[in-house]
Amino acid sequence: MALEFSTADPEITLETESAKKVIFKVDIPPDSRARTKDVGVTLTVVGKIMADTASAGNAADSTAKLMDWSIVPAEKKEAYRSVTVKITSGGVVTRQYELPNAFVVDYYETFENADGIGEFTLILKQMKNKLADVKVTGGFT
Amino acid sequence: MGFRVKITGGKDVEFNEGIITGVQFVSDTPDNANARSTDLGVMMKIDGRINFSLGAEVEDSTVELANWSLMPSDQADCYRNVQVQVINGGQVVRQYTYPNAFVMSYTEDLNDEEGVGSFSILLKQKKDLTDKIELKGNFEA
Repeated sequence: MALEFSTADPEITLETESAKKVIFKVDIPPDSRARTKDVGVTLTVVGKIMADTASAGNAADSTAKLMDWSIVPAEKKEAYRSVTVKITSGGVVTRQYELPNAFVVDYYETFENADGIGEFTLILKQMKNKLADVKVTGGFT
Repeated sequence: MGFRVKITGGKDVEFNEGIITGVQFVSDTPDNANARSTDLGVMMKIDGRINFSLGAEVEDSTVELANWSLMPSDQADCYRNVQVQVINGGQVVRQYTYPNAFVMSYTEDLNDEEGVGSFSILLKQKKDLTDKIELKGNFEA
């Protein structure tokens, strides 16, 4: 199973070796008596932070760009980006998630001396008034 | 023990033993109640796999769950009829029918270790229609 994560405007394309796990979540408040308008769409991406051992001056992956995105102030346009995640398995796109107005809720990077690589966790949400634009498709080649 | 799930009232989907890995029936009243509460909510949690079809020959119905979870509350088919059967040794051990179920929470989890993905959906019967739930069991499959 290969995970492709990309954003548009500005563009970030995460290497497939880097992305490890993706969680797509839709939820409403747990005390709702009926279906509400208060829907949240959250996308969590977990991946590796690698080092380029061949040329020390180059970045081995695009995770640094995710880090930069996470500190963009809210008043800037680049805080919202169009995010696409594609999961491919056996030549079939099992899932494709499209969040056209995603913003960063949380981003963290963890490094430990026992691991050779670092790990990042990126938690994104679709802007709440643009929920209708979220698309989930799958099962095409 | 096998599980069969049938969802009707929108785009009809059915899941069988190959997809569903677990179901949980939850009847819930406030934990701080001094006496039997009328604030009764009945929920259903369904866990399963997101299989990918080789060559995309068979339609993957789990994507419809994702679309249902994103459906705004002003549409009629955000409430659907859900029937869950627990089958063991030729016997239907339990049959739960929720005629007006809506999505509380829906999660998809995909990673590069397992080969297939997994989903978890938490449904609730519309609270004023809780008495419309049908609970049966112990009859021949």
